[in-house]
Amino acid sequence: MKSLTRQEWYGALIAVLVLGILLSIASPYFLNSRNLSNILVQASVIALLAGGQTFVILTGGVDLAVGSLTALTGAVAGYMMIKLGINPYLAIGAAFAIGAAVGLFNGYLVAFVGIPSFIVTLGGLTLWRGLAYDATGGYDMSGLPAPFPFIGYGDLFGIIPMPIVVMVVFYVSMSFVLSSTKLGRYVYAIGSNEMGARQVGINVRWYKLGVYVVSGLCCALAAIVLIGRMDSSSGKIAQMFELDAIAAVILGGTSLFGGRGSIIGSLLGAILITMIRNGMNLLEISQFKQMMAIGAVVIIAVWIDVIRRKRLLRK
Amino acid sequence: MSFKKIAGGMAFAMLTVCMMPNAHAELTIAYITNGNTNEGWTLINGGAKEAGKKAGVKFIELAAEKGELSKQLAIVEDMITRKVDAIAIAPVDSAGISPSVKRALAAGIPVVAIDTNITGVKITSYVATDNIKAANVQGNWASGQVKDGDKVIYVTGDQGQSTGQERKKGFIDALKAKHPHIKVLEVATTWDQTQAQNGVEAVLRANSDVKLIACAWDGGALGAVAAMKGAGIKPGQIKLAGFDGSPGGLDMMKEGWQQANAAQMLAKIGAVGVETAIAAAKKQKVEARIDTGAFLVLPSNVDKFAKDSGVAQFMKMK
Repeated sequence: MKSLTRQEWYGALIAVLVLGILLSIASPYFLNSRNLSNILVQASVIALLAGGQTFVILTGGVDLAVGSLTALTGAVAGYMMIKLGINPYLAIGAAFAIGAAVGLFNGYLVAFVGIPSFIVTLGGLTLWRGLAYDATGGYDMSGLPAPFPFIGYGDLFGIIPMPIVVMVVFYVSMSFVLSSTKLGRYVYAIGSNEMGARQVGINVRWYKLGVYVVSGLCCALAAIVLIGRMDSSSGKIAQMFELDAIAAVILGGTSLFGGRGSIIGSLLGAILITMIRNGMNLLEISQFKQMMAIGAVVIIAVWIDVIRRKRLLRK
Repeated sequence: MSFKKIAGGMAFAMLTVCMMPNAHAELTIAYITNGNTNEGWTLINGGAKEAGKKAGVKFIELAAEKGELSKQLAIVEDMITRKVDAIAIAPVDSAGISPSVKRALAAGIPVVAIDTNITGVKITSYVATDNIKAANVQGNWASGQVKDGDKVIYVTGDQGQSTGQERKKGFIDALKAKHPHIKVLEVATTWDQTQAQNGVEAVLRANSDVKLIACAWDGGALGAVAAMKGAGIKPGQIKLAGFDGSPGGLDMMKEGWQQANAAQMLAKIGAVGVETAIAAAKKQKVEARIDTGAFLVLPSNVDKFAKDSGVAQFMKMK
């Protein structure tokens, strides 16, 4: 039990449970299977982005461009299918290829050129969004072919919504990558002590490059689920998703300073953020107050992270 | 905590519940906006809220943060969970919102679209200005100002969009019905004021005998005024017809630049949208398409219109 309380994601689990109890008391509409399944479906896209973001943040970087890259991969895939009539599986392939290519670009600039990730991806935030509009002529593309309707709002075996299935499979695989592969172990090593990692012979540059590629691929996967859910696509989708994704990672107990954290925490963080929004909708809290609340939650989460880090350094 | 306190608390809670006025008889209407906070939407949302208050229903107003479609989708899903009696929605995207709207309709919740239609699903009702009819009003006024064979400039909206196409068709059809030989010089824009200004400048340079300019929206009229000022034309020398009844448009009229404006009834769009949703929630029959009409604003009635419509609060010249 003691080892459990030491886990970084423990706080997020407590927060999810406490908020769940509070919302059940506050709203008669919160605690039912339909709403809980809704929350998981609504959390799925942010959870996928947060998964990739976890890798980047663990190395001590940050990817501010995930919302824009989601828009780029989603808009191009939509454009290929609707305007050009290309096979949907090829379009899915193209989305992943673009995600990986942008990841390589970001990773190269961060790891090999040495530009801070904050700057590379802040530029990317507007660069990829602009490209998303430009490449697709600003069109809205709707009525996506199979398998998108199934991915977006179909149910596996007629009961489990597909976005939840994608999210669970993704998190199981990502936990495996992070706990049992070289990439996973080196990510922690690089994040906690980059110089040390280099001295023991880890090829820091290549692994750093790798985490941006992972994040880019996650954007493509998130885009596929997102455009399926909306049965449409355009360059304007996924506005400000980077904020929710980064917030989910931090709320999940992963340190913004790198080296400490867990993938499961990010899943809990994504669920927590979605629960906050869902609860505010059910309690009829207005748009502006919702924006303020989410912003405050992000600041508080980073605040907690800073306090935790100071305690660790004192030890 | 003692038993007495718990019992007291429970009694208090029961009392509060009993004191709520007809908590169960009340209808709950969700009004979901697109997150736009500009003047036009402030008027539409204000009309909607007022209608909800007047009808005495429980009125939930939620907005898609940053005009983000996936957030609006989530709100619709949450309102289905919330078991509201009807949804009135200004969609962020006509097509993208339809998956969640289908679910609401399947759950027996009527859905009324406000200002922007929803495609791919048969909704309960769609409440908005009929652009063709409103542009007819503009074209009819213009036909009374010119003679057959005169030159007229028309500044279009985006021709890749139904709104832009309908406004152009409505104006030109009405004008040509009276004057079949009128020359319409088109300035094509994608709702861009600078494009309007540059286009009108170029056309005026080549045609000094233009009698009238009509625009598909008031921003285009602002561009036209800038072009006329640049060409040294005095207010009223070339007649100008705006469209929208926006604060900027009515200001232009008070300054003497605009002689007519086909105004949308913005507050009415919101109000009728919510009233229709309430009617549908009460299982009354509602029209599938409701036109909230257009009002021809002229210098003689501009003050009254500005005051009645609520536009005055946003104008420079009250």
